[in-house]
Amino acid sequence: MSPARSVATVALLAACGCLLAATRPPAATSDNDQARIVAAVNRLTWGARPGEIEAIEKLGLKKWLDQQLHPEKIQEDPDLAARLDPLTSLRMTPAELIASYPDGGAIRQMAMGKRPLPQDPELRAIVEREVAKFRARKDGSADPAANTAMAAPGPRLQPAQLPLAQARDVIYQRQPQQIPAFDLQAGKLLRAVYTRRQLVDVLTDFWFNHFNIYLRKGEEPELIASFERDAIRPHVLGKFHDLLLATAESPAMMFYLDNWQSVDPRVNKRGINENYGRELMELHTLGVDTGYSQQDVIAVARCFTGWTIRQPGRQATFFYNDRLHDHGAKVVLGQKIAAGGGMSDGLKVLDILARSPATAHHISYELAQRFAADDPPPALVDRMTRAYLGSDGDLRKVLQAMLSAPEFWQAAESRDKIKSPLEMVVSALRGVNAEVTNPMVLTQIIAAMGEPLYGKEPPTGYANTGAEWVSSSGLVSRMQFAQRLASGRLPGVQVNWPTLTAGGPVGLATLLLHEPLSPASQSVVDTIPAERTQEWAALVMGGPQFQKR
Amino acid sequence: MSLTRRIFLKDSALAMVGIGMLPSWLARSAWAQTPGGRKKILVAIFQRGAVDGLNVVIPHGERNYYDLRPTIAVPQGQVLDLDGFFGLHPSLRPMLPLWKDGALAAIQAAGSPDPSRSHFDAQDFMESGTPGNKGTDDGWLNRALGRAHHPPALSPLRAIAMDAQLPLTLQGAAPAVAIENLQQFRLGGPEALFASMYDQSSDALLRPAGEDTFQALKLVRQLDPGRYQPAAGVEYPNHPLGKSLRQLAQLIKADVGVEVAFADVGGWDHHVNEGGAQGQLASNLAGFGAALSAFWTDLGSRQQDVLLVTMSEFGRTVKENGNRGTDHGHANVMFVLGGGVKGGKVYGDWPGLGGDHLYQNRDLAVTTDFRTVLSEAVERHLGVRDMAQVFPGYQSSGYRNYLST
Repeated sequence: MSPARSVATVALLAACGCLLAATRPPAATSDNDQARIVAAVNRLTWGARPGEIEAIEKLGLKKWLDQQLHPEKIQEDPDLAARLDPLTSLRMTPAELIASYPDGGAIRQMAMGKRPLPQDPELRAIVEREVAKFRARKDGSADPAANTAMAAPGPRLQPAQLPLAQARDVIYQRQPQQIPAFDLQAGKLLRAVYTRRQLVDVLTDFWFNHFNIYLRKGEEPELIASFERDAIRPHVLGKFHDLLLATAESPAMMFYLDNWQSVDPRVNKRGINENYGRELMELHTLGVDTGYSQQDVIAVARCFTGWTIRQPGRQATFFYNDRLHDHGAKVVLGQKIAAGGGMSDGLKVLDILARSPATAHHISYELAQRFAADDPPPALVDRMTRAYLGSDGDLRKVLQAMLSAPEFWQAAESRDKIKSPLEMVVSALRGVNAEVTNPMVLTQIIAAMGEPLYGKEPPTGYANTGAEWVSSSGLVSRMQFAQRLASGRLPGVQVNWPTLTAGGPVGLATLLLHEPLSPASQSVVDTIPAERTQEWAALVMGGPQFQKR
Repeated sequence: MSLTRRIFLKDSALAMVGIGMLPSWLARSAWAQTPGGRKKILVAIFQRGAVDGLNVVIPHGERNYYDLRPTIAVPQGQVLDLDGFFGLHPSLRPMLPLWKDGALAAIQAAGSPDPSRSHFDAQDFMESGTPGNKGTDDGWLNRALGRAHHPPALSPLRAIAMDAQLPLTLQGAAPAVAIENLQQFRLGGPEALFASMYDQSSDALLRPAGEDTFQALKLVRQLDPGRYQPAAGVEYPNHPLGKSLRQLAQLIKADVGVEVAFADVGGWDHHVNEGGAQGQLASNLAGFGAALSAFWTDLGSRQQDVLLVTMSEFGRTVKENGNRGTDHGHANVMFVLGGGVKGGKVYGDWPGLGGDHLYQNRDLAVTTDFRTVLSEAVERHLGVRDMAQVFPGYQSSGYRNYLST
């Protein structure tokens, strides 16, 4: 921190009097609060924007935490909606998405006359072109010349060089089926950079990853927007049971883990599919090795038979089909589920699982791993587990237990978590107050660092630990990103570097790290003349300290 | 991290610091002229997601196979027969010449003694090489490397994963790097300054990873990966494994000191609509087979030094499920491809698909522990003697002898 700024901070704290001062020895108050605020921002947000630490000092950490835990109290950035506005598919139902962005299967059906062509004239023209291409491929008459003739008209624009709305339109004209994925990735990046409800957004990322769904198995692109918007985000500070139920009833999860095709073998010889039943216990609730057996997996799968999707290729809504349900009696984890329960069989399973102490521990452990430490202190996990069990799985209470635990703050102030690629990129963008007009290149960079957004194929999701992210490829990508950001070579990203580098490396480090550069890093950065700002700014952002939070 | 790694890194850091130009020991010739000739190379391929091995090396001579798989069995007329009983999936036609030339063999009914049907656990167990033991935080291939006899100057690319992340298989005491794309693996001007910053970091993960990375960067810069031309007539498929193996072939042929390598390939978890002779599995296998075949041909004279082993965390149910797919099962098939392989043969005891012979009444039983296959590779191909360090707690009851001795 620059001397001027630390003097200002001390003066500010002295003037407003610290809200938390009563709980700690007064002598150490100001330092502790500064460190604690930085720790809070590092762990609970995507990174501080310029002036944010000072604003929290002014507001008081306790009040800030309370706001982040009650996001309705935070007035959202008025520009955010405008930034997300071009990403129309994020606001659609799955049925609207399917109709608006026909995928390969829909094109095939239209080519075979099994599905009507769209009404919208613009979409209709695009679809007719795709149908012609499909027919040409099918007849074997496709040759390079024909392909060129049928390709989208106009010059080959590079979408990454255009503003978001125009880039999206170019992609829409060429490959409308790419739009759902495009919108999801762009939306995730923009929201992380600009939302003021930071904790909710970090939690949405955490819970999406906990209930991970892969973008490219099949129908998911049309289903994920609703999954994240309707099943995950509204529940991240609510009851775990509600979150679990919302995911269980979501067409995206039904499809990804195959439950929509799981049926009573006596009704249809397709029979049960174990995939959801197993991952529900292993990943979503109890955790691996918590005592359930293969028989439990089968019993749970039987309970969820008939939980399916209505008109998957058109309407794609949740639908319980009693006719396909296995109505026999089941035993799940030693508890009897009587015959004839219908849909309540699955609901009972979710109740059993959501109330289980194993689930309370598993959820608490994962949250502590994400927010506190790769190896979370057992005392912290215990406190959170007790809060979970004492509140019927109220996730806000679990987080409050974490935030009132000394073990959490000790871990958070150690700054010992490796940033995920998304955290690294977004924290840099926030730190330098970047104006992101097109996030395409950024999402590609995050993928190259090892975290393709919505792109983790197995249901495990990404690990919450540093070892997931530290590799040669990943590190080189991080340093490359820092170089491109510092030298203004990132299409779609504008940064007002002169104002940021006016304070030299020390000022920039304060802004980005909220701690001084290590003496070793400082001596490396000092070898570069002050006027070569691009070079030393890249070193600050690509160096080891900025990789941690 | 273990002590051995720290010591190595400290020494190698000393060797690198302050040297502006590439140290002579990093020059290409250094690797080609190591005493005792070129090094042996072991390549591990992981098929993540549990490939359906019964539709890869197909027991077309067994009636049960067709009875239990009414919609996804590959019809006998389309199976590429190998020995009258087993045959390759038709998508693997590019691998057939390798089989006939005696470079390729399979081990059927191989797998883990652990009963887990969790992808997550079973992959960890196979990668750590310690089934049932979750406390292991390093991988079998890294341990194999740590114990191998080697000249004092080690290549920074000695252990490499063709991936954005270092897989558990290669994590451990010996330095290892993950490089997804050789052409993009470069930093330009500030490289040395970044190197110095990471070298002085106190972070237990970043510092050693930084060391490995900056050494690898120097070597890859010399390779000029953008200009690589595979051997005449070799075309790698547009498939993730094709991309990985193309780059690996370049590294091997450039004699940069690769000793162990890893690549993975996903997309095998076919609970629904798996397909038979055509379909989802078939199309992924087509890329898989074409990639292995291209890699092998591209290696040319280096075939003698290379052994490639494939594995997948577990097999899939013998009986197809109602969704024309298969669920998580037990034993699976492994391929071995190499100059020293006694190929053209399916190794292992066939347990059969009849009701009494199935594991837990549903899955193909394991008759060859996967560690037996890997042990033979590590001991006989890499020449590692202390196998108890590589697969602790495991003693093979006898190798399958797929390698000529």
